[in-house]
Amino acid sequence: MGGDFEWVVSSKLRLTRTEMKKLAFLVAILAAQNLHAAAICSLPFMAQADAQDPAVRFERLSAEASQATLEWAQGILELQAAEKAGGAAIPTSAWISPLVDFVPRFQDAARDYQGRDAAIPYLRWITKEAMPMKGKGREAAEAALHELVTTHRKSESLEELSWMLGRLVYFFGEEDGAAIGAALEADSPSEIVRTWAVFSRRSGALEAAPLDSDEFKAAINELRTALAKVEIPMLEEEVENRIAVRAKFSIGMVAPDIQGVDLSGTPFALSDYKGKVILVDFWGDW
Amino acid sequence: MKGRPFALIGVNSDELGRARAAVKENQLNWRNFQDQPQGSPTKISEDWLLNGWPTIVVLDEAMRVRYRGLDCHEGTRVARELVAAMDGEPVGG
Repeated sequence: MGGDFEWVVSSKLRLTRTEMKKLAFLVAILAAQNLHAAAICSLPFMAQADAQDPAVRFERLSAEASQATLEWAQGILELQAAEKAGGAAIPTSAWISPLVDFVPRFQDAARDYQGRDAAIPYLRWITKEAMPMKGKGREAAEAALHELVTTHRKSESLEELSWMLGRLVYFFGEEDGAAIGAALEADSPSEIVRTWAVFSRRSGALEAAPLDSDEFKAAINELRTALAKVEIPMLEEEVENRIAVRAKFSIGMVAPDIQGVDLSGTPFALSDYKGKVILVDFWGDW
Repeated sequence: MKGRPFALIGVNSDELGRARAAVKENQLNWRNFQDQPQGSPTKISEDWLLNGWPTIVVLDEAMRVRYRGLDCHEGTRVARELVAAMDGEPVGG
């Protein structure tokens, strides 16, 4: 034994004096760090469990994205203040949201849980945050929206998509948008989702059918009947606004003139182009 | 549509600096108003009773509304038909 002796910890574990000293030192270090030895031992298992929990993964990823957005917004405010104080103009690249880089990470997670309810929060995040983006971000948002309204069409959580559900034709075209809307009307357990789908189906008539046509009257009747069964103030307001707009600003009516300066400061009026066909595009860099 | 009786006009909803940056970045070569042009007491989107953004409005040569909605393909189709009719081409051709 060389003068050393064994500490019998259990029938299967015997430690020498040197080994016991090392163990005591390790326990002292852990105690100093306010970490319980058992907690340390379980950390790898906890991390593994968390990584497998879609909700925890989502919380972490969305918290990281929120923090990045906060820092970016703070940076923009500082750049704007500097510009107002006579500094350099804000570079175009500064306006790019950091959320652009998060979209592929949310997509990866959604793919990991594809077809399962666990994918829904990730798809909703992509739909909400990437819809205002351009290029791949916008494509990702439309793909996520498509997956939500098809694969997950029976989920009540689709209610949170609200206005997007009313624009299925806009997002997916006449044929696909109509088919998706019909499936939502047939399969969704949510009265709210079904009502938005009715709006999606009827919004074309509401927008463009002649005011005195049966199609226009039927659209109004169906929408008002559907809205009487459920409380969606945003949609109710939109429908009534559209009806009012049709009475004041309808197909065949003369549009009000626009006068002012363009973005480069040059004065001009819309009526300068009278005599030509004019396409007015109301847009934004969302 | 170059050389034909057609004009594309944008109305942008952003803050001026961001709007100018977007025009430059996307190389938009048509004229754009801000939604609330400098000195104007009202927004164009309010005067035009806009339901939401984006929206396309197509006006004929007398500035009568011929299309109003979200569908850019339908808006473009209506505009093309109107231009073709003005040029004496068969409608839909």
